[in-house]
Amino acid sequence: MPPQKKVKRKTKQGSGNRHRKRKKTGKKSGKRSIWALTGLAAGFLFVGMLLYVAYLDAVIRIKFEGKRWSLPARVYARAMDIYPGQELNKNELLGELKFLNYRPGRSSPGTWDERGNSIVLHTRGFTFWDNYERPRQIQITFSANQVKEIIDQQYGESLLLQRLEPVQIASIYPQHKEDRDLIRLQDAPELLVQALLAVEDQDFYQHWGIKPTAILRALLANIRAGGTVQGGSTLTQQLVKNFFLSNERTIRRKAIEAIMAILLEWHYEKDEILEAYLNEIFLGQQGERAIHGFALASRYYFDRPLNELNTEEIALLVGLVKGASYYNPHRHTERALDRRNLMIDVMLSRGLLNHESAQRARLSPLLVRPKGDYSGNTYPAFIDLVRRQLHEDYRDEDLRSEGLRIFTTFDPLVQQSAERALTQQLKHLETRRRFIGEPLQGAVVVSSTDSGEILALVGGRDPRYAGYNRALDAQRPIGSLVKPAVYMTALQNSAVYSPASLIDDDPLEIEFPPGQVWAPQNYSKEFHGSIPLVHGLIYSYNVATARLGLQLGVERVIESLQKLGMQQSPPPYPSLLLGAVEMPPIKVAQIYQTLAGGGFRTRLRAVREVLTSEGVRLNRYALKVQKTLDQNSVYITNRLLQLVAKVGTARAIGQRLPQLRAAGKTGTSDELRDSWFAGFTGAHLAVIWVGRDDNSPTGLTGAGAAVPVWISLMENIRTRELRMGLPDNVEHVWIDWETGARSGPKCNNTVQLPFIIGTAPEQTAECRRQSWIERLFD
Amino acid sequence: MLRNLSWNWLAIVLVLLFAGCASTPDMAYDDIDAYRPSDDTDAGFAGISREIGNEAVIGIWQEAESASQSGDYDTAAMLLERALRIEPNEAVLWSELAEVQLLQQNANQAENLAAKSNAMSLDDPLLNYRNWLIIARARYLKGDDIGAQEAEYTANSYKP
Repeated sequence: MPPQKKVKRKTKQGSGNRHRKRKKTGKKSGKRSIWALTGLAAGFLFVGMLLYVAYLDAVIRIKFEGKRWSLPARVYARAMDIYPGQELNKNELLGELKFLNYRPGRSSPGTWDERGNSIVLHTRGFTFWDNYERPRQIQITFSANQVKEIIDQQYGESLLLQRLEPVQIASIYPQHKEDRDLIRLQDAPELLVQALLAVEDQDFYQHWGIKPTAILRALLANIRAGGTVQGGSTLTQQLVKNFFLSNERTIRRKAIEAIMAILLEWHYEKDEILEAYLNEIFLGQQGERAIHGFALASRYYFDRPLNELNTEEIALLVGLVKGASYYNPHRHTERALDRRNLMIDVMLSRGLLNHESAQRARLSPLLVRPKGDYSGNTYPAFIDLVRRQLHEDYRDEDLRSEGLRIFTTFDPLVQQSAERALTQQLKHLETRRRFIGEPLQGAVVVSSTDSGEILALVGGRDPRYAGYNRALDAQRPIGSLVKPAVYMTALQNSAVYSPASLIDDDPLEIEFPPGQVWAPQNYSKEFHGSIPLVHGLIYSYNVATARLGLQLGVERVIESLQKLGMQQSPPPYPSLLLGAVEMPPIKVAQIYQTLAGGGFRTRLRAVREVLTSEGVRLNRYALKVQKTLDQNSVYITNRLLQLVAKVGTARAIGQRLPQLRAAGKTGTSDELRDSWFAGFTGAHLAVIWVGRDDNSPTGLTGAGAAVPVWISLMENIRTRELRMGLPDNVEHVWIDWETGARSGPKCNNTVQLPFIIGTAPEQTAECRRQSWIERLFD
Repeated sequence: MLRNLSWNWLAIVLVLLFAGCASTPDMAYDDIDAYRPSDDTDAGFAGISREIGNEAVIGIWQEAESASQSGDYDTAAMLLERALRIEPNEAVLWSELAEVQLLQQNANQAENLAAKSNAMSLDDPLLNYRNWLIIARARYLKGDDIGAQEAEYTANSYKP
């Protein structure tokens, strides 16, 4: 048995040995494979990390070497030219300086100082299409309502012309609503840069992206606090965070941030990193719009360029870096003030300030522009027009991201007067007439008569509302505004029609459309029988005009309208002769522009030039004219339109502003739904529309609502008398106002009317001499 | 001395007709140069003078002139438009603008702007003459030879 046992044991042993042996072998090979696996994993990890670092490296380089930021387009108003002899008074100049955010002061750019009859101002300098206008200290002296002299104070020479920098009127933002102004490091105020480094990263120029000691310190503090409380980031890390990473605070993100910071430092110079930081750092939020960088923050909080900020303002901005919403000066005034003063203390302790200036800065109040004041889009109606014009040549994304500099025709002073004229008149009308229900609305288009440049555009009675733009989009029947086209068409046929030829204002009935009767009525519901042609236009008689238009042919009137600039081709229905054609105020302005331009059509323009962000020329929208109508008939029509504003439906203009000798036409649509006036002086054309959005009647005629707006506008802008050169083959002849027969200057009720030479009536009216008292009141 | 006078207070610029002796039928298009923003009276031409009252405009016009001479027509036109914003009724500026368009081979615009200048310049045969020459050249450029000859004929009727 024992042997058996032995065997068994042996067997056992043997098997046990085998087992053990196997086990032993397994351990050895297992260890090896773990090592191998670990090695492999480590290898993979290493390669993975290398790849990841390479990836991060690529991310950094693409961002840094490519276009770093989407830059919004900057939109500028016209630049004001100032020259001796110019009609401009001190208050108007101060108004312009207010738009430019100049402040009272004596020493730095962007300041003005009043000295008796003069204003001394420090211009800022600006790059235009044609050249760079350097900053100057100039003294502008006024005499009565004129510029008398401009002196460059540095050189003591008198200047013939000084161009101010243009007011920036809007930015067209990228889709993600990030806004920024770029600044170069060398252009940033020294105090800002030094203070920023002192507060945020003292060793910026020594470290290589991260500061291990600071990270360690932060780590310890975090462990002690049981959460993430401290950052310890360098400027480079902050930039990386702003540029590439989310706001979460995890170890992983921190590690990536550190790696990227080191990579950034490895590739780029300190100054480049600092410059990017100045432009990238988040410094505020306005609604949907994020305020990035110090240059824009300066405009946002103080309304001035960065290099015009004083010590306490710089301190406030530097303080915001730590937390723009926590220290938001609009919302947390005390907190922001404390933070600002802390920054001033740091500046003092680093020797960036002396005691006196630190003390003065500390005591100064926290002055920031009121929140919401900076909409960045103060003139939404005009900017809408700018965008529509630019969309013909530029893609929307280019407008939003390329930092284009867009020079427009906009005149802030005219705009201000246009806005006031409309809002005040509408309010006045509503109060006087005790309106209830839907409020009155309105729109204004103002252009320059010869160049077709749009100077002002009001899209509704709330000019800041960026919604429905009535000036461009309100399709409204133009009513009697169409009549000058009817009369001009007649006057083109000088063999048959002249201002004195008789037309018929008796009842008119025609069958149109077939089976129906069209019977136009005059506003007064009266008929006037046989009248001189001029009466039909200046008293705006519907029946006489309709009959005249039917004799001429509705198609011919449409042709005239198209030559004047109408782009539509409405069906030639008789009702068109009384203005049953709908268009927005801007299209009406296009038509009247051609009259104001003496028969030369000029496309209305809002943009003059486009430059790149670096000032390279891209596009210029040149002044172009096209002769579309004969000069004589336009001249005669314009003369009659002058009578409209003197003795006709718009005679209030002649009474209030006789010196302008303005020309124009009132328009009122059916049931008094739309009140229009389109009129021009020697310098400005303005089209006014008043009505309601729901198209309900207002009870107002063109003379009742639109004319007062026009008058109020023209009273408050610098405009000029309308003077028209007499064409070679036109003469003025005295005509009896009632009969249209030839008369004389001394006769009663007589007027000088223009005629193509040889077409004035031969028949002479009986001359009743004016009594001396009548002449006195003439 | 006249330079000093005109720049400092006279505010007058004398523009000379210095090619008026060119004869037809070889229309001398140099006559287009009849107007120049020049205050140089020493050239010895017994020409017709012209006054422009606004020194700021003269300054801009001269800048436009040199931009045009250096081939920068866009800037020349831009400057003339700027001058026109100050003096919109100065017909000679419209004529200058027409010339810049002609130099840029924009025949249509050249003709229209010259016509506009004519419409604004009443009783100024010299300027009418110049404008009709521009119109003639613009029409040649468009291939409208008959129209061009008509324009030359009209130009001659204004020739001083």
